[in-house]
Amino acid sequence: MRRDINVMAEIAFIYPLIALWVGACLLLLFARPLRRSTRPGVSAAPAGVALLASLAFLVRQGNDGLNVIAFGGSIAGDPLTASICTILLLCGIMAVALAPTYLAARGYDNPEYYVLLLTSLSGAMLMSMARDLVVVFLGIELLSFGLYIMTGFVREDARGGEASLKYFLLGAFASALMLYGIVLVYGSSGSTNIEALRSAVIKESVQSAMFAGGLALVVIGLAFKAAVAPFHQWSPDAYEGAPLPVTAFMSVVAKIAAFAVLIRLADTLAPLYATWLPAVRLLAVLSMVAGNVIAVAQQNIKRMLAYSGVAHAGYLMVAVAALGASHAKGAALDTQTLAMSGAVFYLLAYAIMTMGAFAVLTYISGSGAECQTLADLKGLARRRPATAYGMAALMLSLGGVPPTIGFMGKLQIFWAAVAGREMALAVTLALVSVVAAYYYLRVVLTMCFEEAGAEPVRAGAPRAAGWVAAISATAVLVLGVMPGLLMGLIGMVR
Amino acid sequence: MLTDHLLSALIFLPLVGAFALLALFPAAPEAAAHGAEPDPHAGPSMPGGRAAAIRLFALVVSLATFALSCVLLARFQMKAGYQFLETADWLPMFGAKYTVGIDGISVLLVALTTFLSVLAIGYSFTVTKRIKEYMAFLLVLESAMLGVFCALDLILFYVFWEAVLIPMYFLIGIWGHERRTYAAVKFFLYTFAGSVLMLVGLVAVIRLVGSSDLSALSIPGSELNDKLQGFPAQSLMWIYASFALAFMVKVPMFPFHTWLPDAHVEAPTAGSVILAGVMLKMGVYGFMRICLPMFPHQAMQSSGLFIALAVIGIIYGAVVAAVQPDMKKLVAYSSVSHLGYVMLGVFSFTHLGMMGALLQSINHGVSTGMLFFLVGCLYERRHTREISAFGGLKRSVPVLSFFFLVALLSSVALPLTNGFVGEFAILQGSYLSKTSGPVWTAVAAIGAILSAVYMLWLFQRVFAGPASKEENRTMPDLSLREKLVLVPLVVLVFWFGVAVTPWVRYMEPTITAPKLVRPKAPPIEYIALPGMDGVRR
Repeated sequence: MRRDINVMAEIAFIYPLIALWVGACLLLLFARPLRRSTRPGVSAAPAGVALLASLAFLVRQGNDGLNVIAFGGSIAGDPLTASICTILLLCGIMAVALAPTYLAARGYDNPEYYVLLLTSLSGAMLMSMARDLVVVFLGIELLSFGLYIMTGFVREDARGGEASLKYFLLGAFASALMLYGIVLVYGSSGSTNIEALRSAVIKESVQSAMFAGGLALVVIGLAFKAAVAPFHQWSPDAYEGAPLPVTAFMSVVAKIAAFAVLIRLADTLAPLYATWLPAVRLLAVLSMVAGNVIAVAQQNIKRMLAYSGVAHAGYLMVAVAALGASHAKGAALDTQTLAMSGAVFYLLAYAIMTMGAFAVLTYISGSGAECQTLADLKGLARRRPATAYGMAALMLSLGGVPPTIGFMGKLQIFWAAVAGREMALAVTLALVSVVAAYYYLRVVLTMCFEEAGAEPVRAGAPRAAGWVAAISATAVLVLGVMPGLLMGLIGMVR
Repeated sequence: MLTDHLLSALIFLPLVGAFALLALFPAAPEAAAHGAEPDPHAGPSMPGGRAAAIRLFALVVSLATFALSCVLLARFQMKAGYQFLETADWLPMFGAKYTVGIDGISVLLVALTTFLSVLAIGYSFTVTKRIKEYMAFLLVLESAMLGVFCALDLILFYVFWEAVLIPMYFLIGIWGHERRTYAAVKFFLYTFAGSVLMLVGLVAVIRLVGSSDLSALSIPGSELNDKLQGFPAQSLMWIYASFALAFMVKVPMFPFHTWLPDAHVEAPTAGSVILAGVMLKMGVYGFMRICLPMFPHQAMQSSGLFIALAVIGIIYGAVVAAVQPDMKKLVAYSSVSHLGYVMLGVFSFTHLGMMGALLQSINHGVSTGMLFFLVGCLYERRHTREISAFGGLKRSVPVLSFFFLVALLSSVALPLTNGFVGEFAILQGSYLSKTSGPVWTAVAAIGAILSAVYMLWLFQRVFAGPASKEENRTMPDLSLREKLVLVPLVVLVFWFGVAVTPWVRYMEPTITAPKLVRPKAPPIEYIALPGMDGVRR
């Protein structure tokens, strides 16, 4: 712990955040001339530059950023932070690429959209850096407010407005709960710093019900953001109502950020596992079962992906449980590392697969109404074979069928679960993935088996979205065969 | 260079061929722009020359793969242990390696795979619908199946094992018959459900012994295998169960066979041939490669159950086959019966039974593959598979009837055909076995009679008697291409039936290797090959 603070070094640590904020401010400053331009992508380009700059700062930090404690211990850098931030920035770049043509076709390609996207993303990154519950809260709010507005960004769309309001009301409620939880934690332990809480837990100076209750409320707040059942009720409506590029962004970024904090809490507060392990197990099972079973009934692909997102959150909860279980059962240190790197790998896999799937939907929607339902995909393999088989690869990956990245991710979670001797969770995960295969395969068969409907290929397919889809589908297969290519990124964890 | 990487070349050549196919023949621009053709069954949906080029390309790729497997057969040394081993780092986080190699158990299955793939592609020249995708999927399927038989790393094995499902799912779903969507989904989910638990068991094994090296784990007496035996019997039983379930579904054994009739009936002809000829053998292979050597005590403890299920499968499959009105379904149920014999041989725990099981796996691929081809020929001519729609065909299509008769006799295990050799070895092994014994063998032998009943009755209804329908009287006989597909199979039927020794030499050293079917404890006596000579002569 370095207490002699070098202010410049601490600021240098948050350069990636500053890059995003500067980008956002500049976009706002030049909003008027940018709005006048009719060319799509004119506002997206600066946002892309800001994201790339942020990524460059992150890469330049390199190993220096892996061992930093800044701003009085409220934020800090470690391998988990670094890999999560990288994944988040990659998602941000993909999300920016999806937006311009889509929004321009609907008359909303405004710079404000990218301002919101950049600030949201900075909130997500802040969450992964946070070492203090108050900073976590700050990050969540920064993330969420952008998302609330972006959900209703296409103002004429009544469903978008409804989704936005629903998301906002439920989100505000969850935030309030979380804030109350932080207050309870502070009241019982005298600190909101996670490291301080850890030492308090180890010294057993706080074992009160108030502390546990407060922590539970914090976890509920995070579970809400990550759409873990039973706190997932907002997600199908928000996903369905939001414009496709926003759905892509929020489904991935909010989940990654929330899980970054959950993993951090599970890791730091591992000595308290006896309190939270049963709850995490319960959340994992509920999420896996509810998400997968309800997804079967969905005809709307956005809703289906929302419920499947709930299920994937459940899989990630298995990894979180395995992390605690390996502490509880005194397993070797490598099992904790495995659980953590497995969870991070799965987050990345989930990001690629989900982003790719929404990119496909954005691509085939073109400038017309959104392709949302299974009926819209009917016979796609005849109209656009490459797109259809790319989507098929993404769906099989989401279903965890080899040789895809989804399988490699699931394998790591199985690995962590078996290593943590959470056999019941591993078996549950295995069984529900059969249910999952059913509804992902339904998308595949609708696209590939059924003969084409009358609908011709839509005009105005956004090329950038096509590229995002193509790159994701390729990545899903290539990384599914050779996940070792990612180990540079994931191997940093711990 | 090629000799060092012969197996990898063999496995990935069809895959590369599939991608080359997609790259060399990009979608016709106007088809992409205008969407679907009005009627996919109307006829060739693309210029004839292009379709012919695609077919020829796929055929050449499969022939090249087959040629490589012939090199493999020629260079294979008749001894136990793995050959053509290749190892490369693959998944450092799990310690998993890319390891491939073959031994006496897998070498013939590899050859069978490449052989049937050539025939399947050659037969499929009449397919006109989405021909490029079709050929690509067949080639990808071939790669994945070869991978299953060659993989010597547990995770690699699992990846190939599951990857097989994907092209087959598309083949059934796009080119199948009326209920193809239902059959494709049922096929995928059923077998996927069977294997997901295997993944948990597989991870548990790797965590226990600290390695996923199947080339060591599958050798009884090796350090890793001994280490595995040292773990509590109860956990090993659970892990064994997770593997056995996956393989049972694939074989399929009696209560888990319900996916098979649907998948076989709805699949296109080439798909049925590959399904019956190769994919079912993956389950048998799993038992021989993983279950028996890695969990000998557990396999021994559960042998009563497996033998009972195998014998029930033999009888049940035969009885149900007899009453089918649909030819393809009849052949599908006969597969359930035949695979029952194979499993009886495996769980007899005798060298003879195991050898018979392996032989019968190959034989079943040949004879059932042939039956499916012939049913496919009939279907193409009449667009029905109903037995009652046919009758008196032997006058109008004498050549087809002849081929059908050969396939039928091979299927009912008449002496001089391949079926007899395999079935006899199995029954002999099972008779001498301590696990099955004379009673089960006697019951199983009833299945041989039943198979004659349903097969001969089928022949009588389809080919004998007066040709009551006009379409049957004017049916065209086999074309040259169809004959070319069938003749190699006929050759194999008699080759195996008359002179099986050269083929047995491939498997014999591996199966009779001192430890393959011998758990260390509890002491069980094994029959040391009294019947081997019976097979040879």
